[in-house]
Order: sequence, then C-alpha cells, then structure tokens
Amino acid sequence: MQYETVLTTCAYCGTGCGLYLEVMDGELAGVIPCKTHPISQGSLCIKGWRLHEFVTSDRRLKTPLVRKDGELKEASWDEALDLVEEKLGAIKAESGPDSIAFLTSAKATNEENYVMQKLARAVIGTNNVDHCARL
Amino acid sequence: MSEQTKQAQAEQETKNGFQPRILAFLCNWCSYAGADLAGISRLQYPPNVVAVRVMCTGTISPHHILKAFQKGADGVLVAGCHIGDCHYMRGNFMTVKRVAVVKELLKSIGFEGARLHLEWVSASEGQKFADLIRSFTGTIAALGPSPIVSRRKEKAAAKSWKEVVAEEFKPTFQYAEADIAKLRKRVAEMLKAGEIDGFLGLRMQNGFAAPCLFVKEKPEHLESLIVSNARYPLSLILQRLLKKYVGKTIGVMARGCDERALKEMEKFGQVKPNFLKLVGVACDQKQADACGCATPYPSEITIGEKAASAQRGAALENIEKLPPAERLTYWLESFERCIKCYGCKNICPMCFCTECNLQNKTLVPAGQTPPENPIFHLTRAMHMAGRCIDCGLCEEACPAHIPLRALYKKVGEIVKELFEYTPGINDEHSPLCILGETVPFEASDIKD
Repeated sequence: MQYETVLTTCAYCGTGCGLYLEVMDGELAGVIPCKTHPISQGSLCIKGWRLHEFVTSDRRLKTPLVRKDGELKEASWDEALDLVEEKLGAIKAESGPDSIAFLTSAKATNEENYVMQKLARAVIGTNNVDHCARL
Repeated sequence: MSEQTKQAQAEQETKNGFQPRILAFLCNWCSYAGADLAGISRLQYPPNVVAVRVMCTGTISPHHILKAFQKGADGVLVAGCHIGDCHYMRGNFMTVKRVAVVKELLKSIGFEGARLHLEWVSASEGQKFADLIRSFTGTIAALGPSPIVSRRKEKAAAKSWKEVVAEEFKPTFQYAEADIAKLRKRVAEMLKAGEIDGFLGLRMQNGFAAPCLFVKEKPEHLESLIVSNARYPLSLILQRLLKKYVGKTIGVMARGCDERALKEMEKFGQVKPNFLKLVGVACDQKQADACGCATPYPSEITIGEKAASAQRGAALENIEKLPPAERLTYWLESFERCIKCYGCKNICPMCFCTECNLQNKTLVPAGQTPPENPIFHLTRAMHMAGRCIDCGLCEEACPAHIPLRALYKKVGEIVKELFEYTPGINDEHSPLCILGETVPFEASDIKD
C-alpha cells in the first residue's frame, strides 16, 4: 500500500507550474497541483493535469526509427546516429552548412537546448536554429 | 386578455422588428397531442414556436434547455402531462424539479427566469395550448431578444475582467506546534494498534505540504506530518485509495468539507464507512470566514477549536448586489476567461461520474476555448445542484479566477430553498437524484 507524491515542474511549456506526480505502488498514477507553489499557486492548465499520461502512452517513441524500404523500422542509437552523420555530412559538403536547420523543443531542458545550438553552430556551422514555439 | 397581448405583441414587433424565437419541448402523449388538437380545431396562435416532440418531459436534460438558450432561443417552453397523468408514472415529477432549479440558476446569474416556462397541457386542451403559446410569445416579445445573443453581438465593447474580479481567495492560518504533535501521536497510535492500515494526510516535503499516505513501514514519514493552510482534495484521493486497496482501512485527516464530501460519496456508493476513519481537524475562524463555510468543523474534532458558522461569503454577496443586467455581464465575462483546463472537475471530490457530460464531444465541442458561454459552466453548475458540498477547491484550482464557489454556493441555496436539502448535511439522497414519490410543488408555484 503506497501513496506518495513527487514534486516536479510541468514539462509542457516554459511557465514552470509546480505539480505533484502521484505514486501508487511504485507506479505513476496521476497529477495533483501544488497548492502553495509560488508560480502556479495551485492552478494547472489541461496539459499539466494530463502530464502523467504520455509517460505510459503506447504511442511514445522509445527507440530511434530509420526508414528502410519506405517503412519506419526500430533501430539502435549507433545505427541511427551513423546515418544522421553520413547524410548531414553529405548535405553540408554538397550545399554548405546553411542548407541545414535545427529545430529544438520547449519540452526539453535548457541544457539540452544549449547542446543542440552548440551542435548547430560549432559542429555544422550554421545559425539556423529555431524552436517549436515559433513554428 | 389574449387579444390584448396579441395586439401589444404586434405593436412591439412593428416598433423594433423583433420576432421572438421560442423552442418548445412537448411531451408525446399530452402536450403534442394538445398542439395537434389546436391545429385540427383551426385555433390561431403566433408562429414563433418551434416544437420538439419528446417521449416524456422527464427525458429533457437541463443541458437541452441551456443549449437552446446558448444557440439563440429567446424563450424555452416545456409542456407535459399534468401531474398524475404521466404515461411513465413519475417522469414529470423529475421535470418540475429540474425546471425549477434551472430557472433559479438562470435567475441567479441575472438571466430573466420568465424566459423558461413550464406548463401542463393535456391532449384535450387544444384551446389552452393556443392560449399558452400566445401569452408566452407575448411575454418573450415584451422581454426582448435574449441577452446572451445580444451580448455576443456587442462583445467588442466588453470591460476588462480585472476591474470586476472580486478579492482573491487567500487564507492565512497556521496550527500550533502542540496541535500538530497531538495529531502525529494520534496517528502513530492508530497505526500501531492496527486500527488503520494507513493514514492519508499532509507531509512537509521540499518546503511544501503535500498529500501522503502514512504507513507503518515508513515511520520516518510521520515526523513530517503537518496540518497546513493548503487544502488538498484528501477525500478524493481517499476514494481512489479505497478502490485500489480493497479491504484496507484508511484513516484520513478531515476538515468539515472533507467529512461532507465523504458523506455524499457514501450515498453514491463511492466509499464504505467501515473502511475509513476520520481524524477531525477544525478550521479556524479566519479560514471559515474566507470560505464562507456554514460548518467549518467535522462532527468529531481531534485538533483545533470549533469556529462559528461564517456568512455566505463576500463574493456572492457582492455579485447579488449587482442589478440583473450587470450581473449577467459579470458572469458572462467571468466564464469567458475559462481556458477549459477541467481543473474544477479534476479536483472536485464530487466529480466521480464515469462519464462526464463536459467531456462528451457531442455535447461540448472539443478544442474550443473558451467553451460555449455560458452553457459549459451552467451545465456544471446544474450538475453541482444537490451535490456540491462547498469545499471551494474548484475556485482555488481555477487559473482564470472564475468565482466558481460563489456560483455553486448559489446553486446550493436554490436547492435548499426548493427542497430543504443540503448535500453532506442531510442523510437522505439528493432530491434531484431520485424519482420521488411526491413533488413539493406544482409547476405554477415556480415564481419568476
């Protein structure tokens, strides 16, 4: 018998609403807003209220997919990254670094977004970095 | 009189060109047949009514009535068999109760109650039907177009909501360290004696009080058990726990509102009283006043002092002071802010229906914000009639600061006035949930 709560920040947008993930028997069971959180003061939007759902969703992507013979198939990280390196390298060699763009995400952390732009600017050599919130 | 009304109506129409649009729900067995008779007898009546035939007026959900107003009806007429003549025995008992509540609800938000009318018309009363349509069309013509529709047209001129929002709800109170120590000791004793298998309360974590199930296996948690001014839906969590851990007895820290919620849940078969143990916490006067709570304490108090019953709350008082037209603007503007997060529903201890009207894509179009105004919130308010135990968690969870508590408090007052029933206090089922053997009043008693 277990019911505990874990304080976390909503992963959906940059507002930073505080919420508790509910744990029952070691499993993620739901979301409850943190009533005294200085940012959200006990309120959440519909995305926050449903934050727990994507974790166990069967539509969630767990491995990289590579298109083979017109069909997306599960692949290892090494295989996928090798393919990305090969293809992006070829595009860069043929059309220059500015022919490549990088799109980052609001759902990723600040650090992950930093690493992404670093890859774009330092490795590929382009300033074409944009963000899903502007799409 | 009917000739005069007709004349007055004709004058009214030539003056402003207003043709009332009225939707009439007619029961198959009596009123529809009555309308038929009026037709066969060549009785004249105004052509402003669109009739919807239903098998029984008891099948008309309040949602249909509200939807008619939402979609631009200037008036809604419900006509069915006389009490005692219902072809389904007690169908119209439900109708008279529901229509009364919807009418009061509409009036409470400042919408003219006279736009909704209930009348009994039998199959032999063709003349009565024609007279009814004539007089009701006259009433609606005199009232003018529905303010919901006209407001939609004038929306551009709306005021900023910030000017109107009542004071924000911010309770400030703390329990003494000695009280909290007493609660910790009591819970430890209960767990040790095997009186309970777990205790649902609040625990101090990361600087915030958070809900937690205290169990024997983790005695260290008990050291951080706390009573704080952060109110969580403990009764709702408890209901989920009792469903998952069948056969376990769970204790819970219960304020007056938690106890009321559990009492209602028991009536609806959501919790079994043998498997729960309440440890009562009385709210202090500040909290009681901030909530406008009539019973800010549970029946048995372990910690805290019994506070006096508070007044109904400043928010509702202020809203009621507004003249109807302003009140309607206030509510429509409040509802307009809704971002449809469903937080009010998610946090509500009384929202345990397996299917929710507000999540039914046929009734509530998906992906539309704000949701249809005011039907979305009035539908929820209607569902709170005879159910809401006035904990106010909905309002605290609302990111748009919609004064939901004031709205549901008013619904509670309407139910109390009509049926002398208060959810969470009275022992019997809500009068709106049962096909009662008797109805306390006739349709004609419903005042405008």
